[in-house]
Amino acid sequence: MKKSLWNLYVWQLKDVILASLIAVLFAVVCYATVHSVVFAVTPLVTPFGFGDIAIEFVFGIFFFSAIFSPYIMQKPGVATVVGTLTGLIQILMGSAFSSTVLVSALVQGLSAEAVFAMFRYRKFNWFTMLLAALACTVGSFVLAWYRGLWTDLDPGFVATRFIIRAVSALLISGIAAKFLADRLAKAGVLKSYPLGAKYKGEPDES
Amino acid sequence: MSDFLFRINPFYKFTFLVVFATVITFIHSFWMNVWVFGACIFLLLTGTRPAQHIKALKILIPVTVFAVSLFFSGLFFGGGATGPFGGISTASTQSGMNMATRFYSFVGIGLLISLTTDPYALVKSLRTHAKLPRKFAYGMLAAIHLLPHMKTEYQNARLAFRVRGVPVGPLSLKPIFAMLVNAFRWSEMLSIAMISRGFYE
Repeated sequence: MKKSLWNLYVWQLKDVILASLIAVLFAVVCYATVHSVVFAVTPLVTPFGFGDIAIEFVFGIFFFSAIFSPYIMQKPGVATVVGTLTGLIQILMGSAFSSTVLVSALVQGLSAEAVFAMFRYRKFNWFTMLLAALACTVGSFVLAWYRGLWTDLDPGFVATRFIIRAVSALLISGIAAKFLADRLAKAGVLKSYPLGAKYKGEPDES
Repeated sequence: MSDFLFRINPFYKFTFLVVFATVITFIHSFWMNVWVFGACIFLLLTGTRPAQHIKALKILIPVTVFAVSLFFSGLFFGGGATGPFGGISTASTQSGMNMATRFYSFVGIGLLISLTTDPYALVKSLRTHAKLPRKFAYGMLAAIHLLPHMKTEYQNARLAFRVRGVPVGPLSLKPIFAMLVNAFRWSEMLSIAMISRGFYE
């Protein structure tokens, strides 16, 4: 048996708990974001027809967990599983968007997974992180296009939305996610994961 | 007044409704949206208790605000219209109505899921009926039960920073980071504790 490869695919209990923990944390963040933005900011810009667009400025938050966790664990399936769990936990919390959030979360997870799989789960650097964020944007956008009937909206309006969403995704789930994971690794809490492995043997910083 | 929606197997109800919502994603029809939302409200009224009706109303008020904003998006940018207060036509009104009712139909299905499903029962049902691996079912529950502790930890971290004279605002990142460090540490300790108490996969 090739031990190293086997280790890559098997999920230990600690991986599962960390994955669930990240999913729960970001489910709370997503839930708070979507409900505060949709139900507080949106009414202010409604009369101009821009109400729907307010959420795009923080859309990167929804991809955060699906990009953050594979960067830490660096094994196949993490992006999909954590992405889907984030959606599932939002349903358990009683989100108003229960019927659609699971499929959106699955699509976002699969999009991020596709990018990391393209590099065979070996390259985790700025380029792959930003590419994964962009892939999530495209995946979620195509789904929202069909779901929200954007097919008969003005193309310029839809393009504006895409650009805002892409910038938000790159900033929040690309750059901020990598930054946060690196900081956590430096603090010494990820020593048993691939990302924090190089800090093994050093005393904790925190 | 009955509560038959609560007695359906949570996993089957959940799967059916999510698949149904996915299927209607690909059907664009105004009347279908109206019928789906009507059916969901009918089921909610007949299949749940009054406490749930009040909850549903509480969710539907902000949802209506959002639906109105979707209507305006369609009115100003749909069906050939290209900007606020310009080029409003029958087609763009139609497009706005379509978008708003569509959102209502999704929310109707969502209400059926979220108001009639007990989280713990759903996880248990996923475990028995969907054959979700044990470690995922219990790992998820463990993580969910960590949430209140993380909240306490966050407050403690804030307090610790303030005692040391570090100014912390409501959105300050330092206490959040301190909380994350501890939460990650707990996740590893928790798995060790679970295994040492006889958890098997």
